[in-house]
Amino acid sequence: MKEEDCADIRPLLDAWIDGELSDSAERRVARHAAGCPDCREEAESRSGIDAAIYADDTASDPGDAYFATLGGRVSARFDFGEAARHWAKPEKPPRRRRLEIPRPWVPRFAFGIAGVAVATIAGLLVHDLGRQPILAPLPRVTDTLMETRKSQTPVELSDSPTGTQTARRTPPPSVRPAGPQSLPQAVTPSAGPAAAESDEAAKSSGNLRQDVSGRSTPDAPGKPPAMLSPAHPGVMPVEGSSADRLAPPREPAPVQAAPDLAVQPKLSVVDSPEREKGKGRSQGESDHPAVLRGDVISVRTRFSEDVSGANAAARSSAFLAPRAKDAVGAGSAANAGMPDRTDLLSFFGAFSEKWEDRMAVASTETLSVADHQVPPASTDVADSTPLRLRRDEARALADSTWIRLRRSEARVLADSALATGTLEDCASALRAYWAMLHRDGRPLLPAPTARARALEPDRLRIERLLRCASR
Amino acid sequence: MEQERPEERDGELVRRTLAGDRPAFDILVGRYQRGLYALIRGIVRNSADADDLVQEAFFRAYRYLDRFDTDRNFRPWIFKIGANLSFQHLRKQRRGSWLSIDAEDPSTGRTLGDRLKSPGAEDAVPRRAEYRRLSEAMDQLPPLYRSILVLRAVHELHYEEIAETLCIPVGTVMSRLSRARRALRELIEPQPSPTVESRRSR
Repeated sequence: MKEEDCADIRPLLDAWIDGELSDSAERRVARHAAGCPDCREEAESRSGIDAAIYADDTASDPGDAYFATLGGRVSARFDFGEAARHWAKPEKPPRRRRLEIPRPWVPRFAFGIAGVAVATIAGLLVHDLGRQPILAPLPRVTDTLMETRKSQTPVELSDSPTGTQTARRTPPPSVRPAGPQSLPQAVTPSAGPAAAESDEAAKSSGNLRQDVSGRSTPDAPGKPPAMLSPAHPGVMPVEGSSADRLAPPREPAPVQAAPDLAVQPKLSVVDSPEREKGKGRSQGESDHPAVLRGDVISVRTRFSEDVSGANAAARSSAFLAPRAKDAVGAGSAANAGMPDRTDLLSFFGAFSEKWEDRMAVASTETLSVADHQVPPASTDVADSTPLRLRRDEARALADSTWIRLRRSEARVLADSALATGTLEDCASALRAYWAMLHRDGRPLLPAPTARARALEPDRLRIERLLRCASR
Repeated sequence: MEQERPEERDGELVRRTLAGDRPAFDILVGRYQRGLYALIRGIVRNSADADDLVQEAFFRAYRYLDRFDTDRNFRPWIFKIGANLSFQHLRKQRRGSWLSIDAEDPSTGRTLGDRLKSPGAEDAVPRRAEYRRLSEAMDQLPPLYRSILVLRAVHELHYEEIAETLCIPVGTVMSRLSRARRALRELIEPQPSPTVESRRSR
């Protein structure tokens, strides 16, 4: 299993033990480390260094007495009046570097004209774009929402033999209003045969699409064309057999799903430890202590001082098991892996108090492999109350967007809320999820960043959707 | 299980301070003094200097509080001030008591960088007894390495937060942290697993 060169892995080791790798890179390193004792040892020794530095820092801590007086000494140095006057000073206009114009003959107004032109073009673009809902990453949540829903009311879809492919091929749902207004786009050539899903399109389409539309009509009579909107021209049904795959659309578009939301989902958390055990270590790492250790290190970073961190991690990984598999006929699997309230709260709590109390509890946080090696047995969670974030919890979660969560972790939270929480909880969780979402494997920075702000419209749209649904 | 969060957010405290509420700033000081002290002491490696610099950092923070973006977290901001003051302080001192990565070891004629580059080379370097203890090894590290090690090991900041605090890209955090750990381990002792006994359980 030593396919990857140690030289490729070594630079990643530090980020690995720190839990800072992307999920795919983390798997890569873990896979390598499972078969490479050298790298394992290297990782261990590096993680030991942090503990030593920490110990060194603790040893040089001047003690509570020092800090009790520090504040006083600090403010004794302040001239509060002076500072206040300083603040009160009218804001100096920010020093702007004059734009150097190498050629003095360029008339100033040229910039003005250019500016107007740019603004106009931008305005037109925005105007156009505004009509295209951009919600690419959303499907993951709604996706799960649907899966969860499916698990409540078994649908015959699950026995479809080609379900896995369907799941993968199904384009992410968009919130494009399902109606005739989307048709003109649907029939455009760029839309491809996928657009043939709608009746009208079928009528207007040539013989090429006949079989596809012929099948799809009885199968999905009310299916909105939004499902296969031209936003995903890449989804191209192959002739003939692929019509089967295309025909039973697994997930309705969110717009259609919306009324469902009015019904409060009541999923009980069914927890089966043995299942988790199997799933939690899905990478074939078995019981190798060093590998387990590697896992635990990253778990520790992510789950902070949470005592049941290892447990929660196992659970969340069970929950996040390959989606395609869960999606088809394994609706109950999604249930089984659902973290229960205790887990989620401690998980969430570990984050929310992370920074505030970090210094206070820092002394208890040293890495201890021994502590984690035997994950606490999951006891009597089977009958625990379904997770339901209280409003303040959800709000705190939504407010805590400055905390860096991994996407998978944020998804666990969002999914849990979706499964059992109230609509408000869903909205909050979704908001939090959105705020943390990212596109290229890196989480977004806290809300003040431009990118997070850019996601704001989408967030609002989700909320609106949920609000509509509740009526 | 319930998380009680009676504390006000940093931005609110700053707003109150700016409105003339002095105790609000004391809360901020209380909240971050320990962390700031650990960072500064970790960089300057001297308690007396750290004491001065912590006060100076808070003083500056207070003086320029109106520039703080209240939507953001106070920690990276005060840490940035503290780290910059520490580096400035060390530059001024120029004691040269730390090893530059490019400085030659007079006994071997090789730089620390050379030693780090060639994995098997540590055997050729005579072990120095004074490097045994970690704190002494930390003293020898370049301050940039110290700062990043402290931010990670003591404060457990994420890479992005470290990047923000030190004003460097995340990729640099990753590589610099890696080099810093290796450098430190080299200084402690060439053998791997140097710190087993110092690992503490909770």
